[in-house]
Amino acid sequence: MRSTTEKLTVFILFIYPMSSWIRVTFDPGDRSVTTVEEQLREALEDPDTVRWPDALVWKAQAEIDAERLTDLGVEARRALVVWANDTAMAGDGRLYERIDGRFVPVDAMSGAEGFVGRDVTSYFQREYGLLAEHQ
Amino acid sequence: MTDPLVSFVGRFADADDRTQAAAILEEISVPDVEDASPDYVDDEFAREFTDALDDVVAELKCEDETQRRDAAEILYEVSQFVPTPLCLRGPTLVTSLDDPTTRPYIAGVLTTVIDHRDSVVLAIEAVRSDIERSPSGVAAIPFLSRITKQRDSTDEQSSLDVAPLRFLSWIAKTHDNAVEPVEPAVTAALEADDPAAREYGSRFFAVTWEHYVGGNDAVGPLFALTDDENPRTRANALTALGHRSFTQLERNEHQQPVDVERIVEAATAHLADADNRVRSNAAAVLSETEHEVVDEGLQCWPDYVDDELTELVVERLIDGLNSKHWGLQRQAARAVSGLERSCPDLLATYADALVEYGWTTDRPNQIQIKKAVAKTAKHHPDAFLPHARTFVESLDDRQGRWPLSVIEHIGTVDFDAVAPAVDLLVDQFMAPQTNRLIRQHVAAVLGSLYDGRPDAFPDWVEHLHAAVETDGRRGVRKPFVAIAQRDPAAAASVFHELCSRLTEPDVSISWTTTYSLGQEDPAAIEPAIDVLVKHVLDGDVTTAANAVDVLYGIVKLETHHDLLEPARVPIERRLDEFDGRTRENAQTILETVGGTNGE
Repeated sequence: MRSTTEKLTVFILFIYPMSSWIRVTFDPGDRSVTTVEEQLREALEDPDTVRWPDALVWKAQAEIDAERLTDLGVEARRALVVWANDTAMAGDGRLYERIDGRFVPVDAMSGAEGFVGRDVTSYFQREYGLLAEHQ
Repeated sequence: MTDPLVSFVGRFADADDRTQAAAILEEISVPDVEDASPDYVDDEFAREFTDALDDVVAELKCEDETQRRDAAEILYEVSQFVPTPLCLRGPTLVTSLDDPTTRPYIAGVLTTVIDHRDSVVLAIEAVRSDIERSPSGVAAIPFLSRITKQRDSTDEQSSLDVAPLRFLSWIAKTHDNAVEPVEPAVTAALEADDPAAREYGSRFFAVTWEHYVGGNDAVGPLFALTDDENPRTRANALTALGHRSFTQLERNEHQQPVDVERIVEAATAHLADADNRVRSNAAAVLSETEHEVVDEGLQCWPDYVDDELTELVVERLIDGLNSKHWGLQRQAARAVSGLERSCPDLLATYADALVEYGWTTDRPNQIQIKKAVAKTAKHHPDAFLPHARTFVESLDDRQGRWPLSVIEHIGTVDFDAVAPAVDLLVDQFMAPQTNRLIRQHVAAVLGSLYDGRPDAFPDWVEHLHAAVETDGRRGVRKPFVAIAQRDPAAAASVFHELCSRLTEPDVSISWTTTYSLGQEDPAAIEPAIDVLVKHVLDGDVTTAANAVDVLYGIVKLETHHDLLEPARVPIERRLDEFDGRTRENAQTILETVGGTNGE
């Protein structure tokens, strides 16, 4: 008998289009969510965002690293970047802190196959209370 | 930057040479191969680099705050070029995480160097070598021999002694299966007198066991640590045991099984812990227990404990939803969702609390609670009847599919309570901007409500006609079926209209629509047959293929196959133009008609 994970793999590989998603959760720190969102909108044309009471989630379309985050000019205290991929059914997460005007990676977690990034989001939620879910 | 170490790297200022520079520095900086450095690196070069690196690392502990910060920044810069020497100094660097001045950049160093698996393997090997060289085994390796007798030591000494353990807990986040060689040593540390050793040892297992499981030796000590004086240790131990218990069950390992009831009991006890972090981790344990068991299917924690404990857990999780701690709310919401499968009766008794959580503004994981409410309402619509107005009003905010499901379930027991939803639903159904999936759910709810009280939908057919005009796509099957039950002629009229518009690019019909309508009353599909046959005969390939797929629904009916007879010749003529699923459907239709003729 196949496990749910295996059945899901079959479903995703052969029936459902493969995809990946990237979520960048900005923790504004001393600034407001509005300020952070305005800065992101200055840097990008119509970014796809979701506002939470204490965070701004940006549904990014391309890979994000420290340099890219810094170049955006968003003055958030922290940024959590979570990337998940349906093909590998796994994800990775990296937390950045803004220090001296640039983002520096301060923690990372590699997710395992079959979790599709859920393990990564759980880790950062437990450790830092940061939201990063694909919802 | 003028630091000697960065200047050193800067000797290779040309970007093309930097990779080579990094490679040279990597080779000369690994202790075991220092004597065997490549020919093009002289000893002086190697010593200069190592001395410069050690000087900067030493500056992390100097008194001047600016100097410490600069040193940390320099190491972060260097880590991006030469990870190995910094990874090997990980146990030294990790102690600077406790200094707020150096913490961010040192965390940056550790995060950067741990990305490099080769460097990590060397670092783990260094600890493992200590273990193997030790004549008396694990307990004699330097840091463990000290941390097991730590009562009289200073905090500073403790920090240095547990540093390798702390560094291993960092490595394990990214390379969980690479740390197996040191698992026995870390297991021994769980019983150390030094609270810091217990904290980092438990953290090691909390992150390692997220995915990778070596042995079970740490299970006993970790259960003991769920009552440790240090809240971070308690939280880590609960997380580790949660991963261990349910990862094991998913893999169907039956040797030395972890007592699932015991971990559920421990998590339940700590849902009432004085520390928020511990409570949040306890709820997280309960939110991550779903797993597949061979021959038994999907299982969750309630499948392993008695009713009394289940009631206590749910009561405390509901308390967690009302907590002021955002993290606990979020984890409790995750843990509550999913319980509708294993204990819907119990969940229904908390209908008020669930609705308040799911439908008030800005609460974490509201979607999961809405889903739980929708699924519980399927079995217990009465429990949510008092909140019917809340669900109906939430339709204005377009809150997705779950409120729709609740309204559908409540409608089965009391239509009047949700009657005001009908106009809103029709508006949503007809609005062009409505998401396609949501339109399907709206259609399902309308169909269900119509089924119960058709007299409440005086303009239903007219609305459906209008909806087909604005959007002839999917999502109309259920309303069709509901209408066909009461008024086959009306359903036939709308179906005919939809089929006649198959030439339009945005219009397509699933064979399931034909099948469902035909099941209710074949008269509802009969008038459209001529239109479909004409599409097969004269339409372009796309339209003809779509018409074949719609006709295929009649094959599934098993009766009334005679309706397909007019399509036989047109399909035979164009069979070669079809491919894939459409060709298979066309051939099945021809075989069905042939079989009908032969009978």
